[in-house]
Amino acid sequence: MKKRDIILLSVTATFLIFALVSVIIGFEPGKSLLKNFWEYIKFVLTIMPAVFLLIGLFNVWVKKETVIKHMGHNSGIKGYVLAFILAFAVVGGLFAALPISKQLYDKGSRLSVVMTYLGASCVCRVPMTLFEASLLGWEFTAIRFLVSLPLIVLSSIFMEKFFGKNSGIPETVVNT
Amino acid sequence: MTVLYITCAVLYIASLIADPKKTWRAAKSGIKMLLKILPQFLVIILVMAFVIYIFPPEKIVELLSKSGDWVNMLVASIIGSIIVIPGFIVYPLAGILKDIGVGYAVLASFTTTLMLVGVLTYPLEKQYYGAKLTIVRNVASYFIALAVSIVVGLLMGGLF
Repeated sequence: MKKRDIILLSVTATFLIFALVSVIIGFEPGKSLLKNFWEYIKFVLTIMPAVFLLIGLFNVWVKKETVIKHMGHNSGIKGYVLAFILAFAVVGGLFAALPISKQLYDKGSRLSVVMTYLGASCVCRVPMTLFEASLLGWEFTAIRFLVSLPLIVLSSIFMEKFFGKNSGIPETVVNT
Repeated sequence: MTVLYITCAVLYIASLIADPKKTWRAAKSGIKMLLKILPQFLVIILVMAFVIYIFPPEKIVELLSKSGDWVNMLVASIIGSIIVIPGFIVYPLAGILKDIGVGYAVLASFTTTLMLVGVLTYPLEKQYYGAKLTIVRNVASYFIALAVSIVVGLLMGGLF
């Protein structure tokens, strides 16, 4: 285990001890902190294992050539369309989109397509969008989509152009 | 969520039939990737729990109902950028904001930055994409969110 991870884990452990003590002695701020923490962690513990298991399957079954062909440098507009479809289809917000997008990148998808997927998956989260539309009206949602999606594509192309070569993207390939 | 697990199970069964060895490798690499990022996840969630404690929904409502629309829009975009709050808080909060008469532009700036920009998730994103790209992406997203709110303000009122 890396030193950084040990520090991070001890921070969490310290908090859990603090929370436990708070519950025992009835310290209100500690109790509500634990409640907040629990609400978030529930999400991570329920969604993330499945997301990562699926990434694992993708990792072993999908060939690099396939990703390069459909989302790589010569994929043209198709790569972006696939990025949008994927963004609409996948749940879990940024926490899920980050590892998924990185997996695509490692498999040979071009950076602009990966960044489009990442941005679009934040904007097009289906449950959030449905709720938003029912609350603030479809006009609101339509404007949000029509303005943000083209800008996301543009900024993604910009990012690839200026950071595509030496972007310092860390390696996260897991060799098994 | 059930759909997610059913999909996962079906694909794993199919994979198991096709090639048990490969399936085992898939599961192992998936779990490894999760464990690698888990310590960072936990601490970010911890920080979020603190932020929500310090800035409960009532306080956000109070902050966004004071000054003029342009100022509110900027304040909303800053709050939205910093915090990452899950659906169960965002939904009721947006409803309250609309009911007390917060303009559409402000709502757009709040919800869009909330979804697109993540200051708190920076350490996590950095692990995947490095500092430079993470910063560029989030800054670009911030301006995209502002553009969205200005267009919403133009077309639906609340700014001009």
